[in-house]
Amino acid sequence: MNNHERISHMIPDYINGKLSEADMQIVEQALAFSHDLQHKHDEYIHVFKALKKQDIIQLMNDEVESVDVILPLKAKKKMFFPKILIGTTTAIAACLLLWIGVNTQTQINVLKDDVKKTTNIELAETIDDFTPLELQSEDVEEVILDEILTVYVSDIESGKEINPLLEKEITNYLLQENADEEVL
Amino acid sequence: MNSDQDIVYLLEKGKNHEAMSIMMPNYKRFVHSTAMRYLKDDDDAKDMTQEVFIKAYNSLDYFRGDSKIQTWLYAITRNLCLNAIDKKKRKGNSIQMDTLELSSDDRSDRLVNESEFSRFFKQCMSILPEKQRETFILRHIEELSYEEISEMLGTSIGGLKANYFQAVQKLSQYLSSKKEGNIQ
Repeated sequence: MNNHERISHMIPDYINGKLSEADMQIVEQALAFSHDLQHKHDEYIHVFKALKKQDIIQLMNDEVESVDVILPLKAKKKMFFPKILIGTTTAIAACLLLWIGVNTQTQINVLKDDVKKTTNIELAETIDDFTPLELQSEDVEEVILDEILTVYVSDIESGKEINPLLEKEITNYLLQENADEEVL
Repeated sequence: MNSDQDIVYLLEKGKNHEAMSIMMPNYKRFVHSTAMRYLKDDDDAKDMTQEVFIKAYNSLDYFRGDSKIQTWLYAITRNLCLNAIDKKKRKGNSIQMDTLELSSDDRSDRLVNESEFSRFFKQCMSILPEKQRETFILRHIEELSYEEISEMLGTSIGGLKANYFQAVQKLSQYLSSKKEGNIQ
């Protein structure tokens, strides 16, 4: 490519002010001495006047005005756990809940046994308050009944579940007691 | 005006949706006009614009800011357009790559709604081969440097300068012929 051609190639960028300062001076000097380059310069100016950047951008903006880009609400995210692990996790959670349930029930049963044992010990201690000479069958029965009634009332107050058979026996006993008192 | 720096900043913060909400209005025209030049159909170009931004949205994690957003979007648009053209070709709907001319039926329907300048611009672009047309638009309208265009089109800077000059020269000849009444 000779110098003339090289400068011809620079003219479009010269017209649009996209050359460096040094290149601008080279083109300007060449234009001053070459009619052919001057002619090309005028022709290219005509092109850029006919195809004004702003007009083309306006045209493109008009064309794109009706384009509505709708994005999905969320980008797809990679799953942290593979699906197979989700099933395994659910199974482990279910087993854990089952174990907690069984364990809690066992603890409740142990507590119930403790309550029964405590009651028996208290009864025995109460009986021990009597000397063997003083102790009679009626006294023993009374002490036991008192203890049973105390536990029964305490259970009702604390909202514990009452054994229906025991409840029936106590009710009958109290009715009997009332009946005896009325007869007297 | 929100710049590319704002977009990159939001991306670094993981605010992809906010970044896209700035990117879309800034680059909608660019993406649509690029798609239009490849697909030569307004409806297809509009659909492609939507597709490009969704693709960009889903690929934001891969955008590291090494290249300009415009260059990145151009690459996505170009790839998707070329895929679409391939698909159409395989279906038997051949598309002429080097011309923007519409079929006679399409022409009569569409030219009614087109402005005079729009028709003139499309005629001008239709005389240019694809590479020259792309280079002319990217240089003259988008005002990109030869380095940026080289990255987009994968052409050497020397080749791009030659393409741009030839495009301007062809347009100049076309306008002269039109002025003399040789072309309607």
